[in-house]
Amino acid sequence: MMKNRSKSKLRRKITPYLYLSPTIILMLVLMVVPIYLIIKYSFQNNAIVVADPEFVWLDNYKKILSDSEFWGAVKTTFVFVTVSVAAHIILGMCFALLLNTKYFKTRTKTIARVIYVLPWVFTASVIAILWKMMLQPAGIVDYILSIFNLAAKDTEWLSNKDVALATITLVNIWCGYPFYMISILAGLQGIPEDLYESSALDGATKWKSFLHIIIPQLKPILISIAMLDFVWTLQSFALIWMMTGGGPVNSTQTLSIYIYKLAFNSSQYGLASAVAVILLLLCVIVAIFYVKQQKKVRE
Amino acid sequence: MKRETFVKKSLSVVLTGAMVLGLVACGGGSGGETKDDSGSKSVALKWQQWWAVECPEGYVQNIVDKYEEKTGVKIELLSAPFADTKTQITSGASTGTVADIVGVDSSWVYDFAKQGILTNQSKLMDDDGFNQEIVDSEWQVDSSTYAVPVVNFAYPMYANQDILDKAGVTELPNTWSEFENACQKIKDAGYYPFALNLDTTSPSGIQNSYMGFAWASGIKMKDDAGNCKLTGNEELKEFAEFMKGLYDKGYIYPGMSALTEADMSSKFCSGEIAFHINSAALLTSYRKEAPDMHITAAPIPIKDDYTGKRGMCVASWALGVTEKSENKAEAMKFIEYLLSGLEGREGSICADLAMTQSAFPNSTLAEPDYSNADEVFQDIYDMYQKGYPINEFTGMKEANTIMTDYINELVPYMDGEQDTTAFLENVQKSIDDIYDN
Repeated sequence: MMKNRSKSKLRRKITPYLYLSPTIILMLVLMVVPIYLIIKYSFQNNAIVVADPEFVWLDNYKKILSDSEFWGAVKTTFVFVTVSVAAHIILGMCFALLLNTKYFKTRTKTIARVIYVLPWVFTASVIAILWKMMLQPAGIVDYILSIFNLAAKDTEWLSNKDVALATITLVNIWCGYPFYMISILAGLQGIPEDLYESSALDGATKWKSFLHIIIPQLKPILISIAMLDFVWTLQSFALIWMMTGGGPVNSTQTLSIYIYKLAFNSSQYGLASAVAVILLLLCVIVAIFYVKQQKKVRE
Repeated sequence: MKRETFVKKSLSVVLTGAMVLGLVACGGGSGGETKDDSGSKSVALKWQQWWAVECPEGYVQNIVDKYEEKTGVKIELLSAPFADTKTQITSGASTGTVADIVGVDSSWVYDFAKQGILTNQSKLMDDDGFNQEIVDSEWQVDSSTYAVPVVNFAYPMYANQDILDKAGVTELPNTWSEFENACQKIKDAGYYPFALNLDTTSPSGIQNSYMGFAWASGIKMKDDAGNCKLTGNEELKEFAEFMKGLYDKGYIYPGMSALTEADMSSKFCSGEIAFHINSAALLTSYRKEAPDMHITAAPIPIKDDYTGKRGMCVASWALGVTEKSENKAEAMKFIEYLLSGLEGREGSICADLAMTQSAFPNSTLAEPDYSNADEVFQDIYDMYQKGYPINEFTGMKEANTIMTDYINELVPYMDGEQDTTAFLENVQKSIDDIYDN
């Protein structure tokens, strides 16, 4: 009798873990093991390319941190990420407010919503090909701008190192804002109507309503999506690689591109892993803030 | 035990067993030995390559099937796109699962040799009594062969004859000054005269287009001892200044530093560009993309006072034997079979592969019949035979990084941000840094 009771107690304890085991195994195989390997490689010389790579402690990190190309990539990544995230918030907010307005009919709003969300539906490769074709010298963008005397006929948007970063940032903004728009729109639709009514009775202007009702109500959503977007944009690879490959003259080389080139062009997997670990640490810091923010929202 | 529980547990055991077997099967690397029906040992090899992906379906499989019929040696194909092959070979070598024979690109051979992935083929060929005189080129590192090309893809200059006719260019330019004159006429007619693909996603444009132009005039970046010598290289300096002159005069298609090989081909087919240097293998796709275009193969213009043979840039499909292979001699025999048949006297396989892929054989025994081929292709073959194949980036350490660094110095030079001497010195420094590390 006692034996049976302890057996069922043990079973009850184990059952939740059994249910969780597929997820735990998947996380181990797809996340923990690769992360462990990358951290291990970052301390090795000739990682992957030789069977017994030498353990070199922090040498790879020292090499990376003293490489001017790395700091160039950090600067490019910083500009690309901050400008993209800031523009995403502003554009997303503008479009969400537009779609939430009472002045348009539901049908108009539905059509507009479909059009606005389109850039987010395309994959990075489609976006890259599309924009590359439009931005080529003597392409459609040059043609339209030249009609209004805003650009020369053969403006090199992607091959001029002074404008290439701005160009790919612009394309990234274009394809990323719908996520903000949808999230903010959902938040706007959740704000109680009586808040607007009471503020109107108190004589609040539209601007004041925006500052004192909309922004505080949307704050948790804005912080969450900004953090997610920060991590996503930080890892952005396909779009930049397909549009410029990090060029011209490394002017669009972000950390992701730098890692790829180190690993697959130079076979310097140890150095590439060291940069990947630095990027991982940055993402972990943001993730901690994100989790804390989510906790606050729940409370 | 309930029936349902029994079924579930049995299913779990079967699935686990299947997974374990699957993992064991996936872990298999080089071929080794197998036993046939009679119980005698037979050799099985593995061949990692991208050829089967690029050849017509079943073509490469047919080659290995015929080889098995003739010799009893079974060869298993491990096929992947070109872009994935290098990573697969590198990771396979470190985990001990690399194939016996591997497809090698010219930009990988130095690194693979130094990393101990490829074995020294000179010794294998000597042991086998292979007549090395039948191959046009071998890829060497420190004077030893580590890979042997089977077919070469030449990079001639294509010309859009329709544009030349409209611009009043009556003869194909043969020298640099004739080329400049032709470019001016083409520009005046409203077309882009020449394209240079200097995108760094795949930095081979510096090799195929830029240096390909220089090699035609016998201009090299290496000295006779095989060391890179860009600093103080007067011929290379003169060539750089000639190219900058073309750029400054607006003869080069704008946006060259973001122009990929595919972009360049597409611009040529859409009738925007008059001249460009690209693979001879692309002629078939040009015919499909632009069926009405009058395409000609132009000789790459040479320096006005140059009288020597013209070098023509080549990219090759080469094969190497891996150090981890347990059957190096058998693996080498297969490579020799592709070049010279079983008896070492005929090159029909090499010739057929060359004809199938619009390439040129690396075996002198191969006699491809191009009589039914496109006339332009036949012209290219004539030029190839009259000149000599060259690619100085073959066998260089981290060749892709060197090509990227070369482009990253060439672009600011073209933009006037540094002078010719500084440009060449900076490229030299990048190369020296790579070899010093």
